Amino acid sequence: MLLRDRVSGMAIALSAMVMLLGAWSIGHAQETNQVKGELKVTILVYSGRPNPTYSLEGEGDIGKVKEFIGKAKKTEFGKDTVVPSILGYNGVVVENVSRVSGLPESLTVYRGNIEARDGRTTFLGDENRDFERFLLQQGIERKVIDTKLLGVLGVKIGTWPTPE
Amino acid sequence: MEGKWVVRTFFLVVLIPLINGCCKRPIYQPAFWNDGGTIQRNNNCYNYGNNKRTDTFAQPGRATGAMYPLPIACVGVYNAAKVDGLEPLTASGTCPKNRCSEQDKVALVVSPVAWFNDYHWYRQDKSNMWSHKPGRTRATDLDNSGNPISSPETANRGLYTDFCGYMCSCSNDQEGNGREKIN
Repeated sequence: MLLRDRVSGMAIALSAMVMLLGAWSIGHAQETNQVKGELKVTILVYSGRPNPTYSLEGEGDIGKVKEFIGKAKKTEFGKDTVVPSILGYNGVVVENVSRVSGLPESLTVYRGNIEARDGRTTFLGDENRDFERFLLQQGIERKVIDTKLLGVLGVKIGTWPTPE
Repeated sequence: MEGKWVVRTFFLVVLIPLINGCCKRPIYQPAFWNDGGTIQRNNNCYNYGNNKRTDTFAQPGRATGAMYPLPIACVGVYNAAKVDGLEPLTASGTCPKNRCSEQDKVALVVSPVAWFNDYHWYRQDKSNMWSHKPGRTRATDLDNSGNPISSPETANRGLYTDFCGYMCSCSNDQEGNGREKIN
């Protein structure tokens, strides 16, 4: 009787350990995926030439994007896209190329509005154009654009949120 | 003699257009390009101008390995487009037209501004008004001031201030199916 109880207790303890190990490995895998995730950022400036692009990777940069989107409030935009069809600067697109969890398929930001697409379109506010500025500054740091290019396009991120 | 004429006419009017297809002037149908996805994202002003979907953000001259040189200037892009098969046209000229085929007028402009060196194309639609697709954005028949484009020479083109000239493109009345070999 005593032996049977002991064997049964050991079996329960082992099962619990296996379950805990399983849960940890799933969590760890998800965490690893997030770190390995990639967001492709495209700055819409050119009509003919390919636009400047760069990648956001790692928990720091991707976490920052998640933070901006997490804080952004839903808005009624009134049009079906935030991107104007004009020659010149047309905003920044973030494509979730590796399906990072917690972010939609794509985000487009222009002049205080964010268009989030994930099967359907949702509009969010970009207070003080902080998200747009962050994305442009990352582009400058990665040397895919520079302040001179933004300057000729009339994009003065230093003066935001004051209208240009 | 008459037999030769019949054969020649058969080749020119029936067989060649049947193989190559007739050029047709495009109808303004922006919905084809403005899908908010693959087509809109991967087709630029050169694709739209030639009414040819390639999903490659086509570049003048790239299809034949003779892409325009940098820095971008009118002459370089114009010549690269010529290599792609577009035909030069004078400002007052009209594009070739015959029984089967009518080529479409396209216009090239360039931004000569330092730090922002780029080109842009417009196309003339069957209505005789002009339309364009600025990069990844939606195709539109309005200029930067929101006005319909009756002439690309007078339209508000933002920084694309150099007007380079006109060319003829073998377009199609089926959207996205232009016949120029661009890539």
